[in-house]
Amino acid sequence: MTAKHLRVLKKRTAWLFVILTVLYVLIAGRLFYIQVLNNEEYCKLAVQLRQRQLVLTADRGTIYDRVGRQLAADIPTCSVYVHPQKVKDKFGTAKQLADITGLNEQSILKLLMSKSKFVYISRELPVEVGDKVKEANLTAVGVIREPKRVHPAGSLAAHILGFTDVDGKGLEGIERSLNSELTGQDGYAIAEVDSYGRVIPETRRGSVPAVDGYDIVLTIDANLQHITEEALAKTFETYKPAGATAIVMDPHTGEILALANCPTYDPDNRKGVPAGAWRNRAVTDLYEPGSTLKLMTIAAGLEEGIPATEVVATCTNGGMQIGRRRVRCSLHAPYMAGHGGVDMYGIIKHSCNIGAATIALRLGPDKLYTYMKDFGFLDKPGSGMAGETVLGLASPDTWPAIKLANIGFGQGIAVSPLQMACAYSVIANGGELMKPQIVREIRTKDGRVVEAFQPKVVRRVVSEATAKQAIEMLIGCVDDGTGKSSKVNGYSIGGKTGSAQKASTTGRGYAPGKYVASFMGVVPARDPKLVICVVVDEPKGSHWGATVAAPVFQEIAEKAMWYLRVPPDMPLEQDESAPVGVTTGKVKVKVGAGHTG
Amino acid sequence: MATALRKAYTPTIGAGAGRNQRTALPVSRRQRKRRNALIFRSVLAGLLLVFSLGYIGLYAQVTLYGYRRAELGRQIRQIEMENQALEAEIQTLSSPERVSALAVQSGMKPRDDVVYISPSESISVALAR
Repeated sequence: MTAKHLRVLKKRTAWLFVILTVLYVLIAGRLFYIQVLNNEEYCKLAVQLRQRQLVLTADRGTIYDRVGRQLAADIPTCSVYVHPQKVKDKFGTAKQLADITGLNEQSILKLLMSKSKFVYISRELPVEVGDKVKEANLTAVGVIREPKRVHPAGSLAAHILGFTDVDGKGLEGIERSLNSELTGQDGYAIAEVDSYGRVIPETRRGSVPAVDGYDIVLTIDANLQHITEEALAKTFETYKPAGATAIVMDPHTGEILALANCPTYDPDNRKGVPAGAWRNRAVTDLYEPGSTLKLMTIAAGLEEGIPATEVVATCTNGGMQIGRRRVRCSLHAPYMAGHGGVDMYGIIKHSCNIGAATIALRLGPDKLYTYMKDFGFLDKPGSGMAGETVLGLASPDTWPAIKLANIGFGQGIAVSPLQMACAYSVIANGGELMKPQIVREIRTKDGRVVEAFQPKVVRRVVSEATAKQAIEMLIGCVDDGTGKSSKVNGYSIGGKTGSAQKASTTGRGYAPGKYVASFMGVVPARDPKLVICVVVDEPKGSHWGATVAAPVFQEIAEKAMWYLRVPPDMPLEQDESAPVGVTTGKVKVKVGAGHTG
Repeated sequence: MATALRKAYTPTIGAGAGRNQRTALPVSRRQRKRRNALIFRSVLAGLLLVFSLGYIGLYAQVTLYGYRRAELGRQIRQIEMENQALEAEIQTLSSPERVSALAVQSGMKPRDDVVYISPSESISVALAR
């Protein structure tokens, strides 16, 4: 080795030393940066890589009817998602997904072309479809299990139950009003994951368990609900009204046993259903009750000492002049010349406006206002259903005589069907107003009762004697008056028809040809088990409560008495072709104390 | 031959040992101590190794059981969800609307010849329609 070689070697060694030193310094600097200056961020990254926060999803509560039939429940479904930017073969992926899910290939492709980091291809698919997508093992395509709200009984009680959005948030009905109770609270846990992303057992910590939503037990009975919906649908089909409502209530407890609205919808298939069909008309829609409100005026009169048999007014076809206005009765044969001298029984039986107006005038505005308030027309019923509406009345000091007279026979005041059902329940319940109830119990998934709703007396409105007399008047109305079409063989029926004009949308006067036909009834009248309220809005062909609404009452009452096994309280009208005493081949029905589930 | 081999490898102690015979060196106390310490350490290391392997084995077993338990938990959850779906299907099939529609399809109609009897089942109250 020559001296020249040695010099070169020395020089190269020196350079190598310098380079290595620089490299070491750089590495040391980088390490200092990572471990000292930026350690928090890298710690976080490391934790992110090996730790996962697991969301423990709480189950949404189930909604049951009073005897435990499921009305709304969750079932498992699958949702397919994709990270579009990570998909390499977009066309191939779209085709495969379309083949498996049955969705449109072009719409999937559109989603795959999206610039978003995450998009759902489809949600709430059957579990089997989700499994097939998983098996296909497509790049950047994932499947998650999600619950879907279903209504096993279809459209039954749709307006009471309401529905949820795709994320399980209640949007209408009980699903909305009791959303917080039904939803529960998601829990979470922190755990370490392995290279496959699986949670390593025993590494779970800081776990907060999920609290499942409560189950809700409603007061409605699915069978009675079906009976009610079926009867209401018939009248809806026949008279093609804008809407119709029927409520079946236990007057002694205030429990709503059935509540139906038309038009209705299927909560599981709402596509194309106008939003108006979702409305629970029984609580949201106000109408002028017309003649059905006369009973409240009469009860107030009785309570204030006007004798039931006193002839309070003489009804002629000329009507009654009040100031510059004239109050008339709707007269039919054989009363074309007027109802003549009418007492309270006559007012209810013939639905005499002049008689009811006279009693209202005798009571005066303050007293009538107080009774209207006591019957619950000026307060929200507080049933627990979403969307309850109430329309206040102006101060009685400002009422002109004509307004007082109008309110006496149910015009110039707006009520909801539920308020009306509650007011008739006062009469059927011996004078006490009960708080209407739609929820019976709130309980945990394992059946522990969290809250049981007991019947609640709101106030005494009239005395028991007044209520009894009012019931007799209702019986008279069905036996000999306008409510004959509501009769049920074997049962005493008390009821009142109503055929009220609808207020004009312009705010002045009444809309020509637009009526609300209604019927409020009690069955059996002498030992009331049910109050049934039927309201039909703008029926076509006929507008009489007796023609349009009373038959609905009749059908519901007849089937409900059978279903609840309420014994007949009246002699049955005999069928000539079926001799009494012949029991061969007959169905025997053991009758006993009525029950409501 | 075998005897010769045995002889050749049999350690002989003391005087008179042949040239070709292997002579055992006197083992000093320190050497013995060192050897014992070595044996002790080896045994200790062996035990530690066995214990560690055992521990790792057990831990692996626990982890496997954990995975199995998690899998079973997932299966239970899945079965519960399937139960929910089946329950909902039962409710759908037995819904009043469906039962009513099936009854009509089968040609059934409400009875109009019902006899009411009193709770004591002895007195016929009346004959409906």
